Amino acid sequence: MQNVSRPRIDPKQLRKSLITWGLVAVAVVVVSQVGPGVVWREGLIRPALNALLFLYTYLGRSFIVAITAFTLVLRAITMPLQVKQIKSAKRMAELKPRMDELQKRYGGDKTRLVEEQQKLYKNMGVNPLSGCLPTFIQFPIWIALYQAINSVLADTPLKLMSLGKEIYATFVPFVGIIPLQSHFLWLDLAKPDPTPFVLPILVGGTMWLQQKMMTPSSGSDSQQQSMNQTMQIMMPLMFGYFTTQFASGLALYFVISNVIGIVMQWGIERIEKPAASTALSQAVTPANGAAAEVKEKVSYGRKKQRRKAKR
Amino acid sequence: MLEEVLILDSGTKRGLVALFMIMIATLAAGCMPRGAASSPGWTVVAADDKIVYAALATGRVVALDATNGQEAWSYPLPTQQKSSGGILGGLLGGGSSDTGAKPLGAVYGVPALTGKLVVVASYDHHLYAFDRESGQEVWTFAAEGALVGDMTVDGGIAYFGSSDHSIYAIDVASGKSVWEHPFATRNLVWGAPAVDDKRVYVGSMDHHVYALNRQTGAEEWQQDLGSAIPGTIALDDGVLYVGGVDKQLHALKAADGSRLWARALGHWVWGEALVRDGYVYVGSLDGKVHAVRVSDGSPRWDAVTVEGAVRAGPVALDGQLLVGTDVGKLYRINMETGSSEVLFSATGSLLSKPAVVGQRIYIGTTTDIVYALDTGRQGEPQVWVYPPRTK
Repeated sequence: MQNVSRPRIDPKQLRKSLITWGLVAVAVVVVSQVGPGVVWREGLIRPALNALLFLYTYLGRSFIVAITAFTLVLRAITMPLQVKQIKSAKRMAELKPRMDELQKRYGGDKTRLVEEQQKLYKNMGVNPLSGCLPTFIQFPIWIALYQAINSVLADTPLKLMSLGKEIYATFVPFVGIIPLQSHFLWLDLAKPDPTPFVLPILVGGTMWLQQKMMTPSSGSDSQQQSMNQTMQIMMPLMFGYFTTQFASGLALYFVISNVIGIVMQWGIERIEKPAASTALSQAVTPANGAAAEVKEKVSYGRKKQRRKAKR
Repeated sequence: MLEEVLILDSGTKRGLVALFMIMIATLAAGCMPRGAASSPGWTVVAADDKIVYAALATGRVVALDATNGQEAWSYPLPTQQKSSGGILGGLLGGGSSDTGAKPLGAVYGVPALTGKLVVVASYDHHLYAFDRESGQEVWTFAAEGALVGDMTVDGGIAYFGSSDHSIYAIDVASGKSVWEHPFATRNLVWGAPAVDDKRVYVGSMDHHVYALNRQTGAEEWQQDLGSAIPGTIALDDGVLYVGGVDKQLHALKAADGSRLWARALGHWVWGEALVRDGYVYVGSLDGKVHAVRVSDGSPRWDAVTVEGAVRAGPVALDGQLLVGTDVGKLYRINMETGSSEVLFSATGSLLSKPAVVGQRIYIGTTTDIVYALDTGRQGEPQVWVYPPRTK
């Protein structure tokens, strides 16, 4: 019987994990004591709503300007996460050929496959979760902003009453701005777009473009490609349809947010240095000692990646 | 990015993608605001000694026997109401009865009882007049914007504001406009006007109180209060009492709009003030009930704290104020001393003014429930509830 050697524990990783899980535990305790509804309302909704009102008050009392400014601030705050997400996506794409190789070699032995894949991730310094974790963190912020926008566009007494209760009482300038001016071009921002196609097309189109830019090439895996394409089409179509149902102020927020996201994505990709043209020299070393094939890393930009995929 | 989460096979990945999309669809369907047209109102009630008229939050108008809560008539008939619930119901709108009638849009203003008619203002831009005996629709009037808030009926004319920024005067007998054209303000008009023999007084969300000639609708004066006025103005002995978003109660002279005094009350004042025996009683959104002197606005007693926000104005019964809150509590407050107790706890929020007939109080909640309470009863004050067997 083979001796299984114990994995070495990296003290830094251990410290990081302890801190992370410690914070999670504190958060769970706080939420359980205070109540998730209170945490959601006081921690996210009210700050977002009041920040929006603050921007509205001091940026010319234009709802569109306030939304744009708020989205810019939000995007700026979450930019490090987005950069991390983009980098992670790129590195995962670069590792794809090696992952396929491992799949071929150890496909029959799931345990061994997982082990080798984890070794590869560790050797390359890639965390599989680091790509989607930023999205999960941003998601509640987006929902909170979504609800805040809905609240400030109070076009019924119930919504106005709710707004009255959410406003921070100490901020006196808010008195003069209620109710918010809710018209922009042909739109009543509190109501759906009266033209049935303009905003849905804008929302769906910008979402599609942003997704397209964010999704890395999946190489020769046709199943992967098919799944990516499905997501890229279905999500924009879905949101485009939903746009016909909800307040145009919210739809405009989606458009603005998507456009800013596209610009940021483009900027980040330009600033990011291309992956080194030298091969990733670290080879996969299977247990039987046979040397693995060393592949050259060739991606210099998306166009080249696409040409490669087509071949 | 899902494929980055774990090391998964394609089938599992596809499943996750589908699950994610179902989550997004559910979230959006559940959370998204569909626009105000499908938002519920709050149940509003008017009553005489025989019949209680209620416009339910879901847009149905019912007439109930005041003694036992039995339904005398309903508009529209409830035959097809249940089939259009849920998300699809919300998207497709309410159902129609066999007669082609459909539920009103959201109703926020108390119905007006006049002669043979009960008149209801709806968020769907229409004023509806129903025969009080049969519930048949007699006439409708279409405004340019949503109708929110009460109307004031005086001398056979109904005066009301609209979300199209205008104030209308309609002859109740015919449903026709009395003025040449409605009076236009610069923002929403959600409160009911106060009326005397010469003028109509109304507050607008454009921060102004307007006094209009009652016959022609022409402006006689306007006063800028500096903040939106969402509620109804009270008029008593030549003085207007106006609450606003600036958290103040203002007193203005009705003749010319000049300011008499203003009292800070801590939060938005929305409901109509009640003026009795030299004092003004009003609630605020921070859950306080105030009593101030008409002469200078100084407090009679320390503000009474209740549980929940106070949206509607108080009513008086036997020296007691009755005040509902958004957590469903109906408070009874001694007008002299300010001592308070919970008279009743309802299911749903109490956001509209109760109707008082003798010792009976009729009040509606945001959950389509109408309660009849008897304040003279020992113990539980509830006499009946509509729909029956619901509490």
